[in-house]
Amino acid sequence: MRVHSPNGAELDSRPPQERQGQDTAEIDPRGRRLLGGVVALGVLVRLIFLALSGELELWADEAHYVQLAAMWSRFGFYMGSPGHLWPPIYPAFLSLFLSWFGEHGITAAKVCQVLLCGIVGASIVLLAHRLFSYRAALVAGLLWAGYLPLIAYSHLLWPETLFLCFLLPAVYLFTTLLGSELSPRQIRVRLVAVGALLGLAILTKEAALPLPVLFGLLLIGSRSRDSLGLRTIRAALLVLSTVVVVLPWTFRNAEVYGRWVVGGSTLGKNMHWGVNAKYINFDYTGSGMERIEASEGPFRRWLLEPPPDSVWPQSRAANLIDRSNENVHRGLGFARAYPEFYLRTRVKRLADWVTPLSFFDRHYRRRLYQGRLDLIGVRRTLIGLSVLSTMLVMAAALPGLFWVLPGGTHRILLAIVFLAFLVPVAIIAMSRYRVPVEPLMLVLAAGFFASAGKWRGPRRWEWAAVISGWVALVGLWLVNAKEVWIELAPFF
Amino acid sequence: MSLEDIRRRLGADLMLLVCLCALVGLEVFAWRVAHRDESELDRAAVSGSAEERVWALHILLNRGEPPQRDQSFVEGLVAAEEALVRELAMTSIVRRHVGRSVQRQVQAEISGPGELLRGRYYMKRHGRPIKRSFLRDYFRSLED
Repeated sequence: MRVHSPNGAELDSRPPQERQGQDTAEIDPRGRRLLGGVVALGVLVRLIFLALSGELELWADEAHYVQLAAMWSRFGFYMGSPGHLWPPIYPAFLSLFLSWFGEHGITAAKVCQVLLCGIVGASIVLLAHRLFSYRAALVAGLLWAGYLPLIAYSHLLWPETLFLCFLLPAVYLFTTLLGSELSPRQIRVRLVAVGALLGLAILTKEAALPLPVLFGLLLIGSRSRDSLGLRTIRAALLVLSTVVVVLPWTFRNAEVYGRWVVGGSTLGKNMHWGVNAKYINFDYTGSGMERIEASEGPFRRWLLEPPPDSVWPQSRAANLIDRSNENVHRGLGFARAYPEFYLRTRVKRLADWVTPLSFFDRHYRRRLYQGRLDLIGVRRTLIGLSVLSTMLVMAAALPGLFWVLPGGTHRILLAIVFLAFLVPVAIIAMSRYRVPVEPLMLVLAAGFFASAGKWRGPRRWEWAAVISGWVALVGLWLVNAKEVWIELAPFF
Repeated sequence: MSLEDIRRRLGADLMLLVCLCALVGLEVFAWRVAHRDESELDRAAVSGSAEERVWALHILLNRGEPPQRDQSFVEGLVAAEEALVRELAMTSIVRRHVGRSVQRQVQAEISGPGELLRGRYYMKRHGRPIKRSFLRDYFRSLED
């Protein structure tokens, strides 16, 4: 068994197929301490940002989450809101802290979020070690520690941090199930753990809903010495573990709304915003959007030019779920009626998904950060760092995926997770929808940086995939370049 | 046949699968036991304790039940809604933070069960997202 030294000097020379499946047991104690130190550094950085951000004003959904939590804390049940059916875990999380700490509950919840980021950091480090090398794990940890778009969610009241705390350990544990030598008992325990974690992820953000089924299919289709029957039973174990976690919430929805809803019900509202004649993007500020529209060029006009009189109104059905379903029907009808407009706007939505903006700089653009964080030098540096690091990580993730990561089940797994969170582009997009895969981008980018040009000899199609990916990425950045500059310019 | 015999025959994976299926079955059973039908909800909304009224009202509002019930039921709902507003200690806070016009609108909606049952009053009542200062006042009002 190879032991990796913390100086990372010895890149593993084994063939990639053999390298996959490394465990932390292979790292010597000093190496483990160093990786732990990197994760602790990331948590410390987030604590400093929490302290510097002070008592941030609640913004948009943050206020709605707090309201839901306050009502839950008061009455002991989830009252819901008239506009959305959001999954319950994040309001429950906030509600706990409001119950325990009253008006200081929000600060306490944020401190807890920062500490939970340790799980996110540890998962990133472990995943990078498993997929690549010790050096990649170190680089991934350092990238994560200073990655501002993710740091922001540790002191904002959006469920992203909690969601990643469930999603990333599930993805990491699932990689250990693919091709490693675990005992049958260990496999069963990990299958149940992955299923349960995915269930909790669904109860935090319903975007994770397809993952248990996709993971199950991947288990069935994976290369393994086990029989097809056994692989199918194991896939069923994973999916059923998710079902056990999610089912009580589904029954609650049947009780409260008289309708069957598995995760949440936000699709209809998103359809109204994203598959409609008017362009809406929550990454932009109101004043920024006005400036963007005032200086609109012919390309943007062509991209977003709506068919005349085509705005469709929201349903006014009394029941929230019926309203959402009706909105989905209207959105689909709209896409069918104007397919050319729909496809044009999907290019824009894809550009919005890969935009270098994030909620970190949006908070600056909305002038919500005060005090030391708003000193002009600090602001310029941090916004610049946030934008550049986002672009760098996205660009480096591509060769990490195709040139460094060996082909096979792990690559398929990552591709599945990426696709699952890219699919919402068919409806709506903004930087926040990219957050679930940004940690994976960090891992892949770290794999690329740590390999230092020692790639495993990519095949021609893998070269082509990366080059065309870069061309597409640059093209999509150019689509939004003017808008991004209009948004950011006043803050430099 | 002992549990160990069953485990050996089925194999540990299949055994675990059966256990999970049983757990799902238990959840279905628990839901059926906890399920409240319309008449129970009506009863709770009209004559239950303050908590029961709030709970029943919340379900009826979310279901979007049409107002086809008798007068006593409607009065019960209105009372429950008033209790809800009082319980949330928001009446005075709403006035301070959202303004009197919205407050009057809320009062009007409380007396109009049709609007009430559409469940859209929450948004109108708050008018805009709550602020940190709102939350501070809310918790202090609970302490009072």
